[in-house]
Amino acid sequence: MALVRVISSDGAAFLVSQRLAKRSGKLKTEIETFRKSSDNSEAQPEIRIVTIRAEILRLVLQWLQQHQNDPVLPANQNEQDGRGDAEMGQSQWDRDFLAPMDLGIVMELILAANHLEVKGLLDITCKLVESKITGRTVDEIRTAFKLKSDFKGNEEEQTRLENRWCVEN
Amino acid sequence: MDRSRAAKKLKSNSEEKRKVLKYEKKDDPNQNAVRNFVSPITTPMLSPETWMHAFEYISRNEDLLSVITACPEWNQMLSTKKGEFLFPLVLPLIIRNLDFKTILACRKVNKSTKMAVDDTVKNDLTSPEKIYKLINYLPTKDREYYGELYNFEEAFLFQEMTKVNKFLSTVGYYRGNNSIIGGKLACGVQLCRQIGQNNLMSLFHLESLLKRFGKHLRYLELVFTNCPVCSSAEKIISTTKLVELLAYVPNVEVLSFTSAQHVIKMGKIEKQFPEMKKLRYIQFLENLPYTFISRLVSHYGDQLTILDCKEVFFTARKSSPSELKLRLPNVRKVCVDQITANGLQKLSSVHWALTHLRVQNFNRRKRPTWEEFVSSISGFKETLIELEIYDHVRGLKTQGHENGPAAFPKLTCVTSNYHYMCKKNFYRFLLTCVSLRKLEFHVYSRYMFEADVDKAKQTLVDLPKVEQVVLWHNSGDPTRKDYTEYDKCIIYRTN
Repeated sequence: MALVRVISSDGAAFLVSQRLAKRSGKLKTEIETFRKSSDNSEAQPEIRIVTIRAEILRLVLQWLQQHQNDPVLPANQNEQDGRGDAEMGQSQWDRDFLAPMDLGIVMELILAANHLEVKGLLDITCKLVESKITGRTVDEIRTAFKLKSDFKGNEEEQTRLENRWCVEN
Repeated sequence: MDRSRAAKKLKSNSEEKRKVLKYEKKDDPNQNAVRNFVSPITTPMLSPETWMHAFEYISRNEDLLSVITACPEWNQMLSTKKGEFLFPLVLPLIIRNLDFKTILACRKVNKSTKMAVDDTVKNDLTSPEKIYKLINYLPTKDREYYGELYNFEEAFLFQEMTKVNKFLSTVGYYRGNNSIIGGKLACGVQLCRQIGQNNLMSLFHLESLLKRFGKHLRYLELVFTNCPVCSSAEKIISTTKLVELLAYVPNVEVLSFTSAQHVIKMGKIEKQFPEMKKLRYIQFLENLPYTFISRLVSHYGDQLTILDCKEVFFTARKSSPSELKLRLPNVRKVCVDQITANGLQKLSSVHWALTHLRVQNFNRRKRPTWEEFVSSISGFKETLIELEIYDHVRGLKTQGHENGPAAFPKLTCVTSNYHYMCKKNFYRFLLTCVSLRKLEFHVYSRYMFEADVDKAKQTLVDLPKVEQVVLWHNSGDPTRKDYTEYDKCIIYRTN
């Protein structure tokens, strides 16, 4: 079985099958680039992901492992034709996978899935964050994400006035 | 002392220091916030509170993300602040699926989230480049919001908030594509004070709306039309009035004027064209006085990068290639309609460094052959990256081995329709384009769709450098609500 070594930003190495790794658009491109530039067709590719730390990379690979037999979705499917996550179901495994994570980890996972072009994982994690903010008030969003208001003077009032263009006459 | 012993000693010293730093913090009752943190091994070693202090000076969320990915110790130190800097980075990825009320709520959370929302809607919905990409005659899902705005015009009577709210709740439903949030207004305007006829907005209400909210607009598309019930005196609009309207929209980046009938008349343009510093994209479609277009282009020409117009703009007596180049020095993307080979030749001789060219329709009487077409656009040979042809040419051949015309070395994507699929002279041309990676075909109907997929697969065999073929096709079921929309099918090359 052909393997690839994926190294996180903090130096942890994960040895995974190339078949599995190629389910990530980014890793697939990296493996193909390595193949084109390498003289030795047997050489094991080594890919360093400088923007993802070990804990998050492990979660991405774990998700890929679980979904290795799912059909691959194009990374930009939503952008192009508006279809995608709305039609996608979320498995019980996915729910159990995300359940223990705090929002910080989920948001790191979204950025990692986006960077690695793992469409399915991006969809389910985005959905989780969407569910935490949809229909919430400003204060509720601040509480959920531990955000502080840094508006000064009349900036908050100015923003409210700008929003009137959309909601009031 | 050998190297390994020296390294061991250094490591043990660092670990000692690290322990000391950790324990010092534990002993200090005033440092509860950082007492459980451990500093990473660095030279020199810094205490966790020093690191925390240093991190406070980092303002870019992307840089803080780099910090937490660098080492577990820094990740731990910033764990409680992740929401603050990760949320604005995540927001652009989810915004398309949020309803408009939530998007507006996010604008009010803090400065970072407000900026994330504003940048995203600006880049996503009103960027001239994005709009150039979206405006073609296929009614794809991305165009839904244009349709919705026509309903808005009917509803937007300032006294009737229930209708406005109903409209807003409708557009809000469309996956966050709320045009109003995006600063986009596209509407049909009838030239009278009657309201609500044929989903059109009256000029009076348009002016009221623009006076009040025009500064928020980044995209303005106006289609002027007649009203059958009014007196003839009210059925025309003077270009002077158009200039007045422009004064209400100083931040518009994309401007589109069309007249359904000849209702726009040349007036004295006494008022100067207003300052519109952000204007980059102008679209002129039907029935506009050439003198007005010419003056408008002369005024804003330096800042325009995208032009969408009919052939007459290039072939008019007064617009010689050298004059066009002088008036519009920075144009990079052009979309033309009703054009002939001669018109294309003239366009080509302007010597714009065009990266994108779109031909909507050829003039039916003077439809060029494929070879004439390629020859007529050869002026853009060195710069063209994307070529779109939505109308067929004469003389496309299913057989033959003659060499194609000159290559376009930077061309990476070509979009055309089913007439061009598997045509030998077209493919011979594509073979000479060394950078070509993507082909798109509009096949229009799902009828015979399997045959089109087979042709697309054959295309990947015939053109070895092409990585994907995209087929746009109709959903096929006339009873479906989205019958007029088009889906796409992508055939990738697999290794």
